[in-house]
Amino acid sequence: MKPIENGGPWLGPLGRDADVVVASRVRLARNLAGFPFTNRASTTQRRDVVSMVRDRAQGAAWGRMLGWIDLQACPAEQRTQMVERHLVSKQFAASDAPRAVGISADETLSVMVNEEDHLRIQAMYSGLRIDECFAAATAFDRGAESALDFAWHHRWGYLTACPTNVGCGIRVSVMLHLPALRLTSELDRVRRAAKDLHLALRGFHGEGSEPMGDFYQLSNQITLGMRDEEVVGELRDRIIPQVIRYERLARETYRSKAPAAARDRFIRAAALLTHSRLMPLDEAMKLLGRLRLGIASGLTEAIDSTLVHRLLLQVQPAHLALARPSDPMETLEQQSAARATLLRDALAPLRASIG
Amino acid sequence: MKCDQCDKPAVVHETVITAGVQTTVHLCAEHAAAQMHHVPASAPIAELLAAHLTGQRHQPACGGCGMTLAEFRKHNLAGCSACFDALSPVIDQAIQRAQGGATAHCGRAPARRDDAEARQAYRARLLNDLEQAVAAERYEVAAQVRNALREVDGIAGQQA
Repeated sequence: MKPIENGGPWLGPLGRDADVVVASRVRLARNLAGFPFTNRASTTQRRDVVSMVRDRAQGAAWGRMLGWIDLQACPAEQRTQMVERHLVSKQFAASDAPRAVGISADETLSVMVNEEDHLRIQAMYSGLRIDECFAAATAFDRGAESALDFAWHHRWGYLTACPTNVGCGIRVSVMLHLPALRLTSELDRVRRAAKDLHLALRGFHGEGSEPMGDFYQLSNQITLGMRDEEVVGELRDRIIPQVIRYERLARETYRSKAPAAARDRFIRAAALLTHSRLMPLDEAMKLLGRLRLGIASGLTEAIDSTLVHRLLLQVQPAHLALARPSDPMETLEQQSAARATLLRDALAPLRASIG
Repeated sequence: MKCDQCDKPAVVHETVITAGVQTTVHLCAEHAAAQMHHVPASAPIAELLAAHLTGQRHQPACGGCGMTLAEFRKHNLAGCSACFDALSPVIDQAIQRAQGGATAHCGRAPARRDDAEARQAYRARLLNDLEQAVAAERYEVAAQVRNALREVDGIAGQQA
């Protein structure tokens, strides 16, 4: 895998609405006809699925851009890095069955083979770029279906192991930074509204993860009875703009009600990040979130959000080890020390600016 | 004999035991299907109905992968494509529950489908979608459906 400076789909240009939106992702779930789904497939069948998908992709224009990684032969640290970069799911990295992932050079496209479904095609871009994600995932999907038979049912559409993905198999998710909605206790209202609209609001790493640093993934839950274009359009045109508006409004309210507190929160976060000698992961995420809000609110020009995004990734354990290869990392304390050093170094311009 | 619920001839006659009480039901194809939510054409309707009404006298296993209803209920995961017919209607309900009540796919189908029967079913559904979209004056959707229909019929090129 490439060093983080060169890759990582959400380290690209910030784009519009970057004050709230971090990254966009579209995922398509597909299964091969004629094989049991991953949960019922034998080791041999799983191996066959991997080689079939990989071989057909490697020999064709639609799939040649993927470089393949056999997860069984992949060191644990690299698997964790892929999870931290959102290229593969946690469960996928942890399983010990035959499985593989194909990743494009710029890491915007990744295809997990033998996750819950045989294929999980995922496209990810920084900023609010759902359309580009959809186009990239769909291009691969259409190419793949010219060479592979996908499981299909005349009533249920594309078949998936879990009933939640049946139909068009699409999940659109947008990673949002919503600190002000949480500060003004409006997040529960958003969560309820999301539920009513059949959307899920999840933590930083998606399904089953805790919110860290006020980062949330908002995604569709319905994949049946709606065209994939409709799912994309609804999130892009209706839902995401509304959440962005709410968050901006909450930021305005917070700033106008308590301008000194808003500034103090930012300065404290900056001070801790630029002076601490030990920095646990959850605290780093929380403080980086506050830094990001400060940048979006114009409280500093010493650094920009791209740096914060890179640090959000680099403070994760496997990337930390990659960024500081000579630091000892055996204990949590050693990790915290390495993380603190990394943050102090990277945020030196900020330290100078806050005096 | 007429259907218990309408005047059509009953085609399903079944003695069922619910909570220890024995009753006989007579249903037309439509009402039988309605109670089942979805009856695959190939499935023996009486057997499915009995299983449904008496609370699993049978535990149908999927012929494709051996999945039982109990296993499906436990993990909420289908084991293979055949499960979607073999575990009906339980799986139908699970899907509809997960999907906010949606009852069928609409939209794209794999380009490589050469299964004529499935294509016809898809075409019929698109026609139905088109009718509904026009009735609801959702012309944008109607246009999309029309495009999908053209794709199915392979006449998109000729009309363009």
